[in-house]
Amino acid sequence: MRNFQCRGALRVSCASVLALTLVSGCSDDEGLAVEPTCSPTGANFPVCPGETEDDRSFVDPTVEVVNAEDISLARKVYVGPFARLLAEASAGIEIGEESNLQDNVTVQARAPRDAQGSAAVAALGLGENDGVEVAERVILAHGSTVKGPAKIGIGGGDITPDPDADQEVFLSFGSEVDGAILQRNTGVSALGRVGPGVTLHSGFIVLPGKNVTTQAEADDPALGKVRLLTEADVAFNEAVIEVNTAFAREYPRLHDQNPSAVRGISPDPGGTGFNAERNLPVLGGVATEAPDFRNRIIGEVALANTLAELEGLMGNRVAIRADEGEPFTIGTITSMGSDVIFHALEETPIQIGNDVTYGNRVIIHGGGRQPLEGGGSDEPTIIEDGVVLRDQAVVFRSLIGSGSTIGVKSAMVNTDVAPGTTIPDRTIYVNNALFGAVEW
Amino acid sequence: MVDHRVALTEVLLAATFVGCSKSHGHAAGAGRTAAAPNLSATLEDQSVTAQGRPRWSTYWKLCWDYAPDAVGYELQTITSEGTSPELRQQGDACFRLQVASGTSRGARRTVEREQQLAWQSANLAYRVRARFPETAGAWSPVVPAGLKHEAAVSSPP
Repeated sequence: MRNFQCRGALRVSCASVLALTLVSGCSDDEGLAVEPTCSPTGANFPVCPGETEDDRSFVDPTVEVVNAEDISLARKVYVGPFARLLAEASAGIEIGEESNLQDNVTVQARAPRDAQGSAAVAALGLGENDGVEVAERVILAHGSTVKGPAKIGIGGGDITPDPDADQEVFLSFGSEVDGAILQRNTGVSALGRVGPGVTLHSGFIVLPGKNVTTQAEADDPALGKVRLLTEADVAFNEAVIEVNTAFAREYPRLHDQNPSAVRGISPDPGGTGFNAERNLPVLGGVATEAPDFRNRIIGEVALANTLAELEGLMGNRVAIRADEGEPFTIGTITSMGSDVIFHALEETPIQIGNDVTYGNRVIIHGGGRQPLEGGGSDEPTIIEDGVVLRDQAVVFRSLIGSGSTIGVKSAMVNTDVAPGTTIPDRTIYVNNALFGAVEW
Repeated sequence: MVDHRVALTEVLLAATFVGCSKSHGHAAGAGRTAAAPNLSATLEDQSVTAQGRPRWSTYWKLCWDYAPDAVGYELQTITSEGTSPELRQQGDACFRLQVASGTSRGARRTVEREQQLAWQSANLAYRVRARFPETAGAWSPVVPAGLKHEAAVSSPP
């Protein structure tokens, strides 16, 4: 087995776990049953080898990797466009098998924080050089952030809704874990946060938009920040992992055939059960493949603007990823910030009108919109003309009427918004009903 | 501010189910069972005491008509993050899933229950088809988990 070895900062933990015969990130040469890992260096980037073609890992070429030798990826890991893996020589990052880091996820091995935050982290037993350890079957969804030291999917145990030996942890859109521990079988809902010094115990999930800053808030649902994990959450997590391990399998195949096809403006990989065909983006009416373009535009995307116009209109680290749901039709862009994400589910297109303004870190996600008025299902996600999406706004399976504004860090989930509506900052709507505020 | 289209109440949310009109029917087996299973979904509430603390759960129960000659059924999980390529095998014509849970009481329990049902229904759904010895039936419509769904008039076998 090649390329599997102990790495940088992880060598210390290797030594420790060797003694316990629980080995992570160590060589098969040690003579123990090991979980093979690799660091995304040199020949291992963007494809980390596996024992077979089907258990390789993939790191999108746009991923920012710092101190790659201090990062370990197990098998079947998918790291999406513009994710950031920021390790340090003294603080590594480990990603377990079948985990995925979706578009614009940030994992920072050692994040700066104030004295109070540092003390809280230390009290949790996390050393400042412990880095970030992400267990197997962890989902870091679009735009989520992990600030080290932190552990995700470590400790705790099985729970009644998920009695299987495996486990899952789900960090939803725009969520954050900062100097905290998330045990096995936990989760953070969209735009939720777990702050320094907190342990989220097995069986709990942070509610959308909630900011958990004390242990009491993490342990007591009566305080309104967390709820109990259910069988539905487990079913959701298992399905999401199945989807993303398919990406880990198919993107290396696309890379095998044509390395430039996983860069810049490129076709989608196809070959998955949910998206069989490969399609090329069309910009200003012209089918375009541009591996050197700084942003990722993948698959069946029709942009009204030309490539030359997009050079000036788009920020950086933008991922328009039609590798699952398609097509995306995107009208003229007034302006677009950085770290913007477009993604959709199988057979669920996205339609965006003209003169739309996109702030930084906006997420637009399609997928089977089900209007509660007027009927229909699997309706496209629609953003009409003249809409303004402020920084960190999330539009998910929704219809945003013309001239509307979605506030900063607000999320619209399966919701129809009438023309001219202004949604305040930090507000979440689900199924056309006010769900709550984003607390941070 | 928020207009009429986003000012719906929880009552509407709980009582309104919008049928999923799109069927992802497969050609395979279409002649054998062109009609999708006749789906109904109900909610069941349950309270228990665990480790001295009261705990409630709401279960979503999806049922469908037995298909003649079927050897079983397959469910596909459709999430806000993607459609699972794996199919869940099911022998019975019902599938039961815990969709909400908590320890609260009274009015707070009601609010928490409704919020969890809303969230799950926006993020998780299922479709089902019959499995025959050599082939599979057509997919049913997609039904969001956590929402009630009234069965239509039974389809002829």
